[in-house]
Amino acid sequence: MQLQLSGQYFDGITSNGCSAELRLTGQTIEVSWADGRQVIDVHALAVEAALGSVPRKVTWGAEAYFVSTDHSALDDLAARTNRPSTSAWIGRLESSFASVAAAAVFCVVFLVVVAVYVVPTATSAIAVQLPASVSQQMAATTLANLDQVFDESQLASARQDQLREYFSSHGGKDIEVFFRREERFVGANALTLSGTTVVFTDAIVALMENDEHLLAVYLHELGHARMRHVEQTLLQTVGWAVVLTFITGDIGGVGELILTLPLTLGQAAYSREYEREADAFAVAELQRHGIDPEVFAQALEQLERSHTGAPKSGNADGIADKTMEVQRSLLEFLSSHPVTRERIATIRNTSD
Amino acid sequence: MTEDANPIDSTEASTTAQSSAPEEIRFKFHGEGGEFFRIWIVNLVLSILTLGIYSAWAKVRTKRYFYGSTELAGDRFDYLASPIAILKGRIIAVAALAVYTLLSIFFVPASYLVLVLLLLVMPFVVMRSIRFNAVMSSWRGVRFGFGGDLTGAYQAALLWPIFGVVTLGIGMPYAWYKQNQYLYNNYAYGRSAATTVATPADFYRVMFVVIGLTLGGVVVLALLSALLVSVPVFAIAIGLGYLAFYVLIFAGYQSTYFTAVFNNAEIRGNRLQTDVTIKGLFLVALRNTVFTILTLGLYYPWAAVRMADYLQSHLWVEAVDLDSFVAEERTHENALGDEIGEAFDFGIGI
Repeated sequence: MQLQLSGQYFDGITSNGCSAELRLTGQTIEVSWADGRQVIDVHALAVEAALGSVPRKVTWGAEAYFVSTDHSALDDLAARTNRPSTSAWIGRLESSFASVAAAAVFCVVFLVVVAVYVVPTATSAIAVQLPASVSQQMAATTLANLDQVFDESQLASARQDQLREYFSSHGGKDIEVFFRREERFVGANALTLSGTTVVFTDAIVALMENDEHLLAVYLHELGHARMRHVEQTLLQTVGWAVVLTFITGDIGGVGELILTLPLTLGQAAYSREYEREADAFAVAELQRHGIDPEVFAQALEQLERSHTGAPKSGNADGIADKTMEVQRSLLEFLSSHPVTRERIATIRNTSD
Repeated sequence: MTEDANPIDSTEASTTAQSSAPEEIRFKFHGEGGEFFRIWIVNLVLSILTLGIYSAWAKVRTKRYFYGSTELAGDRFDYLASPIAILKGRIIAVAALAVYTLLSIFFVPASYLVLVLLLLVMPFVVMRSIRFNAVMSSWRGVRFGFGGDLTGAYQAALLWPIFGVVTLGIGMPYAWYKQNQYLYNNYAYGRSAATTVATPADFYRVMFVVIGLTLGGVVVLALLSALLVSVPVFAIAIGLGYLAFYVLIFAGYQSTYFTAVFNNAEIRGNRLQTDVTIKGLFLVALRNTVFTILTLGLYYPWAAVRMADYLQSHLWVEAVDLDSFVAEERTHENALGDEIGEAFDFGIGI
């Protein structure tokens, strides 16, 4: 029953440590240093659980302590004095290769499952329950932000009213339709801001050959609005942030950035799914009103041509313009380009 | 030492300082990436399995690992906080964050009110957080401390930053200077108070370095875009360029700020010194960022260890006497403020 280890002794009062020896004899511990010694009962002793190779403290309920890096002797000492503790158990998990490997696999799988399945399912359930006033509030905020870039529409108000009338006679009487002018970033486009609000740009009104094409685009946006896709996306971001903050807490700056990747991937997959759902909605509504869904396919073709067409002129900054152009073509290659063709094909197939 | 005679220095400090020639004692970091990875991944799994409750224990374990791996003059630092205290505060913090985030999306006016309330409470929380972290840090069995008061906290955390914003950023370095004064004239080790001799100029240097690097970086990126626009791998090159640009600005800010703080702090004649450079920090941070992204975050433990290793190997004490500091009498502190402060995690270290 003899155990001896060397380390440092600190009195807990001054910052002056001394080299010291700790000796276990029977039920007695003796700590001795250059000009002093202390005798402690073995039951009063606590040995800090291992944490990597960090030096461990031996304490006995006083401010003074003994610290050592002789880990095997410390383990022996702990075995004779300590009650089994959770942190000792965690230390063993950390030092076993199998449990560390299992932990790594578990983390990756968990994050992917939460991002791709749990958060979207939960948020879509919440999104459809949101009252319309909330959606209106959201849309008002977004539109106020967009209006810093958007200009007022140059469409005659009679034309705007005529389109609104035409749209709402085909569904979505509660939907607010706004018209705005914006040439540089958005171009010919229609945006769903929330479950209650849709924005058309002047460019898309000019681009579409006739109003049935515009109606098809409107019904696609109505699909997004009815299924609350914008609300779902927002809730997903919030939900993910809360999950991450709560679970990881102190994972570290870069780590947090990286951990949002699964969500971004999940959202990208979902946003394509949203497009498919909205397309299906538009096709079904067109058919219900006795309009050939082919007009929707044509509308998408016109949009695609306008987006991949000649670069817009009138941009003062030549370099930025070129950069944007290259980036845009890359983006289109990565996402919308093949998808748009696929969407058009799907529309034509379902309407046959 | 003579050129630094300053009015804040206590007489005790000056006499100690003159008694012997200072000895250069370097900080040394003993942490290893693989070792920290094991701790980090087990922390993560247990946090997930306990729905976040374990994250408080995880935080203490992580901090203990980094403190315990930091050596000065042969002895390691120690982090002594109790996970329960951190857990309570973290629950409050998560609730506040969730309420604010939801309101800011779905009910904007109320979120402004919550934001104002949070801003008003924030200096108190910051002060308690700094104190909590200081008191829970120790070296050679003597704890650190923080004696900053609430008035100072409101000035440092609210008034001066507002001044910085109102002056369109021109006053921001002065605000940093004031914050540094609040921190490093109030920190203590045992019963000995720290002092700082940092000047506003030290912090204006931070701003000029950041502005200079930003302008330089924009010019270089614009030239690169113009030259490489026809190259197929253009997007990748531009992506890497942007990444390097952000890391460079981070490194410029971090290293000059670190220098402003640590080249000017002293405690009883023992002066902290650093020779961290923008280039050195940039190389470490760039490598860390690239590897962390490529490994989807799994490199993070190695990155954290490398960064700590870099910073500490460039930090030393011009020591005159590290052996005769005396511990403060322990008093019981108001726990709640500490817990909330700790939870919001205003990471201002010693």
